[in-house]
Amino acid sequence: MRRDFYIILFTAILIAVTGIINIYSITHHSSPHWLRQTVWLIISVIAALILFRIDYLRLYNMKWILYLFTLILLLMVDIIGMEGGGARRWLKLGSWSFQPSELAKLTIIIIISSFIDEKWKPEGWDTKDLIKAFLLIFIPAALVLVQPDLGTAGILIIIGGLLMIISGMRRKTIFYIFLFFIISIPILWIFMLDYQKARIITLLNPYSDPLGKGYHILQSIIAIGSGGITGKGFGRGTQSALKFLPSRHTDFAFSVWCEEHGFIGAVFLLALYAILIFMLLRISFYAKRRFGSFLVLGIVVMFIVEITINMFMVSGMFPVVGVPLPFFSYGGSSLLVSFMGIGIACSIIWDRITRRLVQ
Amino acid sequence: MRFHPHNPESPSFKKKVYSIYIIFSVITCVILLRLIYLQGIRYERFWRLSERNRIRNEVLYPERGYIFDRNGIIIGDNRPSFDLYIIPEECEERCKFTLQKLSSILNIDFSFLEAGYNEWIKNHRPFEPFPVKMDISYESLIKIEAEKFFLPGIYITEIPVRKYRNDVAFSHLLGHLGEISENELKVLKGKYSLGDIIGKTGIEAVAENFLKGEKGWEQIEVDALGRKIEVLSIKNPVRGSPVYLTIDARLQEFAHSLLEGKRGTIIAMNPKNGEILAYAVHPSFRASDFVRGIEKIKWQEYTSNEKAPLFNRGSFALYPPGSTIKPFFAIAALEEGLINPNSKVNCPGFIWIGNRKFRCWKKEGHGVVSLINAISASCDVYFYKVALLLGKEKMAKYLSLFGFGKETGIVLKEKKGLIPASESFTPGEIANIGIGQGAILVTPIQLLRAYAAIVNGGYLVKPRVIMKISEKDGVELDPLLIEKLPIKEKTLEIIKEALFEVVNGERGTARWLRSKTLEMGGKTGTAQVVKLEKYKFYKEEDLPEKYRDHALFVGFSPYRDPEIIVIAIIEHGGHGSTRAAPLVKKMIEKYYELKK
Repeated sequence: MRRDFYIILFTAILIAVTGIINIYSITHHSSPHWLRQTVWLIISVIAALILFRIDYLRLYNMKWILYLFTLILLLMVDIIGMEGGGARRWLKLGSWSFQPSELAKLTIIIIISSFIDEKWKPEGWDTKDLIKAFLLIFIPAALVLVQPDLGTAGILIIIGGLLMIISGMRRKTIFYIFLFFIISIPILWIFMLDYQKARIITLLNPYSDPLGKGYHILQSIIAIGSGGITGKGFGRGTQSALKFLPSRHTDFAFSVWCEEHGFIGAVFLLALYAILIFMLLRISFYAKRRFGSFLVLGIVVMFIVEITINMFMVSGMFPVVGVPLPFFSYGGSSLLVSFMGIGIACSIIWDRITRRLVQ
Repeated sequence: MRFHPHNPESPSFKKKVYSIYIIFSVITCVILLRLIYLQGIRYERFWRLSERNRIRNEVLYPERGYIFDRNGIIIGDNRPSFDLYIIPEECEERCKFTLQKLSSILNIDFSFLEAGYNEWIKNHRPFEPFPVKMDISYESLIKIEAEKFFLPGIYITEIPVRKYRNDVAFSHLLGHLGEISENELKVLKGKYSLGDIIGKTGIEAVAENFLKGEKGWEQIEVDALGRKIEVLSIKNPVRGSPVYLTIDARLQEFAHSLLEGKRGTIIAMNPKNGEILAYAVHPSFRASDFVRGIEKIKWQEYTSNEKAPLFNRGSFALYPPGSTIKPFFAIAALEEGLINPNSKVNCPGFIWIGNRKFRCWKKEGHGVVSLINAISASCDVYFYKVALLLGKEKMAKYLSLFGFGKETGIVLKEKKGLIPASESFTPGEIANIGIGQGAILVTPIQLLRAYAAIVNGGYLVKPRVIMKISEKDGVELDPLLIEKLPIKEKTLEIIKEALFEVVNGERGTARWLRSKTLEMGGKTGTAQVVKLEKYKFYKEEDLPEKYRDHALFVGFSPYRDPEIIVIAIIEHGGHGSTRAAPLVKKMIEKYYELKK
């Protein structure tokens, strides 16, 4: 029981430490990013331990306060946020900055899990429920979208949507949602910004413009491919060391890892993620309340979605969107929220340990 | 709190969890397969790409080998050329501002520059430098360096470029350079790359392999923007081997100055070994126009110029030899025993051949002339008769013996010329060939070499231009070739004496050149140019230039053991004795002056 938590926590810390080593390899010449990330890791582990101890039912009670708090933070970002790379994403506190859109992921998981719990319909959701749930997801997602941060906004919608689908959906509804997506693609295309369109075009053929718009994808693929089986060695990634690779310590950290440690390193990292996901999924069976089970599933879905998008993106199977690899990429907010997710998910274990009865 | 009990062990919930298991496993497998593809199957390709990404090779251009004259004077060396570029990426929106400033410094029309720049950025990547101006002047360079801070994006490269001691005097001998053509690239594949400058004609082309040197390269580590981070390795370029010519630069320049304003050629040679001492052709071209590859407009200017400045008159032009051919027919007739030195001919100023009257150039006639008189006074009647005695076959045999009708072997591009061959000729035509008109055409270098064979005792030498390459002997490129002619020494001595008489005899056609110190011999010639009937009886000076005859003179010195032989041909110059002979004399005087 409790051992499950420690295995999960240990695995997550292992991934994070690997990530810090990777960050050190890339940036120790220029800035002490690795040190900053280490501080964040310590904070994150403490947060996970605290959340693990807290009764997860409190989250249920606090859900609206949390929801409102998140919306305010997101609004603050839109108004007074710090700019970086053409978008306002951060809130600054001294020399530390925080990305509220990361927190929004947890908020949506909590709010949707409780929604599922409250409005549970064994036969599947009706349209009214779906609209309500959609609004709950869409409001924070829209605030993220205007930053603009298409990647995170998309992830918020995907996490919330998947949670709704998993919890139960009529075949007909699934069909309609599918239809809606098909129709919305061309409409979405019209409203997309030029650089977003370009990213999708170049994904289909990165070689068309290797030094222009296909640059990021191609450089990342070259980095991964040139690593081979064993990699070029720690600190020897030529692609990354010479700044060929963009955002190499954040979104493209996995490319650097693959370049320096090759296929073996990549498999090692994938194995750690597999352990993490499988262990977390096990916890969903411990919950005595529907809210708890879906909380765990939501967090697992969040990790899976982020891992998938990031790894697909850096290996050229998905357009370039700003999605970090959880636990591994540089970024305090992402690390903190990921560990908080672990803490929350594992606190479900207490259902089993204390054998609290369901009324 | 309203909590809904829920059984996590229920089959429906289990189904949900297991489907997440499966989906995640599938995704992991997809990622693994992708990694196997990228890192396993395509590994080598990406590894190569990553290496190329990092390391860039830059060509370092070598200096062309120096060209020296026989006394070690540098005729051709190199100078740095400063080329000005703009890197669009580095100045971005300020590029226009930079261009504007440059246009005023360099005196280039701004709208022209701007148009070129706009075209460039459309077709090139932003880090590819846009060439603003090649080979900017020192003054511009200093101004630009001074204002560098206010000229964002500029980039100046320095490459060695050919420079000549005299831009025009050596042009036809040294030839010209030019950008390598697609054809040449195919033939010389592997050795050159697009945009390279190679020798196209003359010595620059003949000695290209030695002069070109070896390119170097610099392996530099660059970032994604192509900016140099570090030089990883460097191979310095190697300057081409020096080439030493047989030319005396000062004599050559003197010859060129003598031709100023004229059309023609002056070639000086050592008759003993064929070493060319001067090779001047006028009009000439500016060799500097070609050193970076000639601009289209300039090329058109050259090719459309009616004076044909690119035409190498020394070895590629054909002239009727006129009277200068007479000594060779005299040799033929003596050798064949058809005449003897004392044979006398009466020249009344004309001769009837068939029903046509053939005139001597001297209307009143030369009276009774011997062979020596006939040559020194250049009597036409005598040689009409000699020609008729010889006939076509024997004329051709001796002309061929003296190297007419075939290449001399000089390293420059040359023509074969024309000697009477298979066609049949009327006696009138044969007689005409006897005075160097009609079916006989020679190049100046051929004529010079044939005369050298008379004065050096019967040795036909190949004209040589390249003395040596580097420190080793340049024989493989321009070897010394001497052929002993089967002519009796006595015969040659008689002819040589006659040539001496031309300058020194009472009746010599160039007797006003007589000089005790020079001991000069030679032969005048006037090659008739086809004229309209109405000009037939005009005096030479009154004729329009293009109808005037070509003036020829071949002279040598000293008489006993000649060390220099010079030919001068002035197109449309008029009489050889008055227009060409004085130039030869000046050349010989200059030769002795320089020798001191």
